Amino acid sequence: MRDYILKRILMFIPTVLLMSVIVFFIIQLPPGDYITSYVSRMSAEGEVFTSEDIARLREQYGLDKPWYIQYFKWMKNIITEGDFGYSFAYNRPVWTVIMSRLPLTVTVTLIIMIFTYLVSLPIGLYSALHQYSVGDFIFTGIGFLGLATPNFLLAIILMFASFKLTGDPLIGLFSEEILREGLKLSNLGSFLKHLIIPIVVIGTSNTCGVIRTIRAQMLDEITRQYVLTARAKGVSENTIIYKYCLRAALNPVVSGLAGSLSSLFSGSTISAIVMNMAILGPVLYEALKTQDMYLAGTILLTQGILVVIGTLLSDIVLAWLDPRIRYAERSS
Amino acid sequence: MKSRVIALLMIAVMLVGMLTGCAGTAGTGSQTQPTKAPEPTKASQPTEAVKATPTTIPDSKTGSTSKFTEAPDLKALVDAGKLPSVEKRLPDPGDIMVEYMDSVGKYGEAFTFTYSGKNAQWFYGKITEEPLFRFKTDGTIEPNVAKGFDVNEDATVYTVYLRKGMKWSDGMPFTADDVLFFYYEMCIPETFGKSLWDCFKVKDAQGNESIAEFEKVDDYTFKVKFQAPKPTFLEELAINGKWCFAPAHWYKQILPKFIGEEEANKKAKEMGYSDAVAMGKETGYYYWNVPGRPTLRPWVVFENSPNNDCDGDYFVMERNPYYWKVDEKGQQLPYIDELRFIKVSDPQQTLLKILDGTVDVAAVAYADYDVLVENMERGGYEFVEWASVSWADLVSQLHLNQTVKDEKKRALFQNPDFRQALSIAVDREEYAEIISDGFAQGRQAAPAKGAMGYSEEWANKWTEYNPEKAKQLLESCGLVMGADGYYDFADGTDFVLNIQTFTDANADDSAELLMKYFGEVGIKTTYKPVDRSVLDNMTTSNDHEAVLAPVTPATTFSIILRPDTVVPVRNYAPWYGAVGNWVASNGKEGVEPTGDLKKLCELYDQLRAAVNAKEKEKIALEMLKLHEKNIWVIGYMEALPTLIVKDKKIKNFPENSIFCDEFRDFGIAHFQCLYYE
Repeated sequence: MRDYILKRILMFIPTVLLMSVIVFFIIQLPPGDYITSYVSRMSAEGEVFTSEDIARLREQYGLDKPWYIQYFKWMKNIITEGDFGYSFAYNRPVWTVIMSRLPLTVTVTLIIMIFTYLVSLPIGLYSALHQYSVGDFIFTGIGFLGLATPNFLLAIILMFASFKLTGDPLIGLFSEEILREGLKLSNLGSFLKHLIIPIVVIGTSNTCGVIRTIRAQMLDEITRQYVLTARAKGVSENTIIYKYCLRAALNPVVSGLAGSLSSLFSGSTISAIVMNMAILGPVLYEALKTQDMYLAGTILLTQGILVVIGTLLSDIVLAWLDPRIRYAERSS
Repeated sequence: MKSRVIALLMIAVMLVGMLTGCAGTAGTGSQTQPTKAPEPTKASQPTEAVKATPTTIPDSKTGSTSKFTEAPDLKALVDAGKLPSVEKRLPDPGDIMVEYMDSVGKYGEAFTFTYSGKNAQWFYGKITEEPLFRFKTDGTIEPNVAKGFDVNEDATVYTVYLRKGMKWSDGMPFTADDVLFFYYEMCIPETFGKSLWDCFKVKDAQGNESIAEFEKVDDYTFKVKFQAPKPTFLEELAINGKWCFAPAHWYKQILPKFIGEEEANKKAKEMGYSDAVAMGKETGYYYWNVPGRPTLRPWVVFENSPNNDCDGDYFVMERNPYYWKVDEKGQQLPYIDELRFIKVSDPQQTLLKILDGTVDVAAVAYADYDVLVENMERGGYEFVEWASVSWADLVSQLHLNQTVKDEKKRALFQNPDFRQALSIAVDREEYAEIISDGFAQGRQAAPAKGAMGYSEEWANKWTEYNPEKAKQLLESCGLVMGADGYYDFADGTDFVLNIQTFTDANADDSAELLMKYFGEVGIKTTYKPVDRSVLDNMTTSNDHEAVLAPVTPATTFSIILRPDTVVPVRNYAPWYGAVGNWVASNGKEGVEPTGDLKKLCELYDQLRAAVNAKEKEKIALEMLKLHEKNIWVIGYMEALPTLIVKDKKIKNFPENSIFCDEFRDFGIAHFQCLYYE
C-alpha cells in the first residue's frame, strides 16, 4: 500500500508538468492576446491607442515573446520563487486574486456538496429498495427533470420568481448589507437566504446524478448471489443492505469524489455567472475570455493538480472501502 | 415634441461644435475673465440643466464666510477636530466654482449602480471626471478646474488661470506646478504608457510637427505655447487630454525619477503592481481607481476605507471633503454621500436590479422596454431619452472595406454603383419594423438630425426599395448572373459577400434580414460573428471585408474635433481599411487611396492646418459632402436615442442631452449636482 502511494506520488511530477504545458499552449491558441482584448474593450469606451502604445503594452507584459519563452519564464518563477505571475486584468499577483475568492468558493461548494449527498443518498436508497413504487416514480421523475433542465435556466427562473414573489431577485451570495459590512452573526440569515437558489440550482443537478447512480448500483447489488445467500443464512435485512450492498454501491460515488475536489475550486461556472456568485468559476471564465494567461493558467493548473490528488485520494478511500481492491493490490 | 427638443439641441451642438475655434480667433480674453464674474445665465437656456461659471459667492463683501455649509457627516468630522472647517477646505471665496442648477438640493443618500469590475472603470471614471475645461450640452466648452483663460490673436499662446486655494482630495494645494508636472513628468516621458496626446501637438504650414510648451507664470497661472496656431486646443484638451494635472507631491513619492528605480519597484510591489511601469500606468491613467491617489473629483476612493477595491464585489466611492464646487446657497457639493457599485457578471442581473429599484441610473436596451414599463411602479424609476450622434443604428451599419485584399472585390466595393445596389436592395420600412419593433425608422447612414452636415437628402439617399434597379446596377458593375441564380464576377468566378461582425453586437437578426434581401437581388452572402478583439485585429491588419455592426461605428459629434470614424486617421474604422495606416505612416505603409477618398484625406490635412474657425467649418462641410456623395458607410436604420432609466426621486437630471464620449456619456449630467427629493 505504501509503495503504491509512493509510486503514485512520483507519477505526479511528469503529469503536472505535462499538464502545465498543455494548459499554457491551449490558452495561447485563440487569435490575439490579452492586449488585443484589452485594447478593444477600452477603445469601445472612447480611449485612444496608437500602435506604439499597443506595442509598449505588449512589451510590458512580455507578450512580444513566443509562447514557449513565456512558458519557461512562468515555470521558472513558479519553481524557483513560487511566483505564479501577475494577472493582467487585475494588476495583482495571481495568488492574491485567487485567494480573495477561494475561501468563499470552498465554503459554498462544500455546503452544496454536503447537501447533495445528504439528499441523494437516502433518496437513491429509497428508490432502489422500493423499485417501481409511487415514491420511486416520483423521485425518478424529478431526477430526470433535474438532469435535463439546464442549470442556468433554472437559476434565471428562480431568480425571476423570487423577484415576482418577494420583490428581491436574490442575486449573488450576499445582500448589499453584507457586501458593505462583511458577514456577521446578525446577517447570517440573509446569507443563508441567498444560498437557497445556488443550492437548489447547483445541488439538484448533482443530486439527480447521484440518485441515479446509487439506485442503479443498489439494484445491481441486491440481486447478487451473496445477498441471496446472506438472506438464506438469516442475516438481518439491515445488515445486508447497509453493511454489504450499500458499501459496494458506494464505489462509483467515491470515484466521483476525485472530480469533486477540483470542482470545489471552480465548479458550476455558468450557474455562478448567471447567479452572480463571487466564486472562482467566473474569474476563470473571464480570464480565459480575455486571455489573462497567468491567471487562467494558474487556476487550470491548480485544478489539474487537484484532479490528480483527488484521484489518488479516491483510490486510497476505495482501497479502504473495497477489500477486493486492497487484496488485488497486495497480491500483485 | 421630444424629438424637436433633441433636434434643437443637436443644432446647437452643430453650430458650436464646428465653430470651436471662435474662442481662439475672436480676440484676447473674450471668453472668460479670470476674476470678474459673468452674470449667471440660468434661465436663458432651458435645455440645460446645469450651468457653471467661475464667480464670487454673493455676499462675500461682509468678509464673513460662515455661509458655506457642508454635508452633515463632514460637519461631524469638523466638530470632532478631524477635518479643517469647510471654509478652509474650499478655494478662496472668489474662486470657488458655483454650479447653477434647476433646483438647489439637499444632502444625503447614495447612488447605487451595477458594474462589471475594472472593465467598467470608464463608467464611474466619466461620471466623476473633472477636466480643466468641460463641454456644455451645446457643444461649447466652459472652464471647470480652470477658472478661465486668455488666448493671443493667432491662437499660439494660451494663458490658463487656476483657482486660488483649491485643494486635492488629501488637502494639499492644487497649483500650476501640478499641471506642469503632469505635462513634463508624465505625458512627455509617457509615464502612463500613452504616447503624447494629439491635443499637445501642432503642425505648421510646412507640415512640421511640434509639441506644446508649458510655462508657469505663478502658482495659479500657466501658459501653453505652440509653434503654430492651435485654435481648437481647449476643445481637443477636453476630448483627448481630459485632465491635465496630477498631484506632484504624491507622485514624487513613487516615481522612479524621484526615488530611484529600485525604491519605485518596491513601492509598486507594496501597492500590488508587478513593477514601476505597471504602477505608472494604473496610477497615472486610470488613477480614479487607485485608493489614496489624490484627485479633484466629487467622489474618491480613500486608502483606508473598506470596499475600496475596484475589482471587488462591492466598490464605494466616497465624498471628497475638499471638493471645490458649491451651489448657489453656498452648500459644498456633492449632495450625494457616496456612489456604490455592485459587481454583476451578467447584464440580466443589472436588469433585475433595475426592476427591484436598486440601481439608480442606467442605460438600458430597447429590447427590455416592455418588462421595464411593466415594473415601473415597483422599481420607482422613469425613462429619459438622450440623443445619439451615431450616423446609423449600430447593427444596421454596413462598412465595405475600401481596401479589401481581394483585388476584384476591392474594385467592386470602391464602385458607388455597387454600394447603391446594396443600399436599395433592402426594404428599410420592413427592416426597421422587424429590427427595432417599430421604435426606429429606416434611413441612410448620415449625421443625426440637427448635427453638422445633416440634410434630408442625405438621410434619404439611396433608401427607396428597388430590387430591380439594384440588379441593373450590379450588372453595370460588371457582375454576371450565374447558373445558380447568383451573380458571378465577369471572369466566371463566384462572388460572395462575406459579412463579419463581433459576437456581442447582437447583429444576428439584422444580418439574417440583410442576407435575405441581398439573396433576392442575387448576391450570395455569408455571415460570421467573431470575438470583438478578433474583429478589431482584422480591421487593424486589413483582413476584413464587409463589416456589419463595426466595433467603431461611424459617429461624429464633430468631424473637426473627433474625425477618426469618418476620416482615415489610423487603422480604425472598417470602411476605410488600410487607408488609415497610409495616413498615419505618412504614406509609408497601408494602401494609398484614390478618387474621393484621397480627396477626403487631403481635405483633412487642410483642416488640421487651418487656423480660423470659418475655414475649418468650410472644409469640414466639404468633407461631409464627399461622404454624402459616396455613401461609404451604408446605413439601413436610424440610431435610436439612448434610453435611460433613473430613479424618479432624483432631481436635476437633464431631461434632454446627448449621450456621447465627448460629453463623457453620463458625465454631462453632472452627478455632483444631483440629489434625492
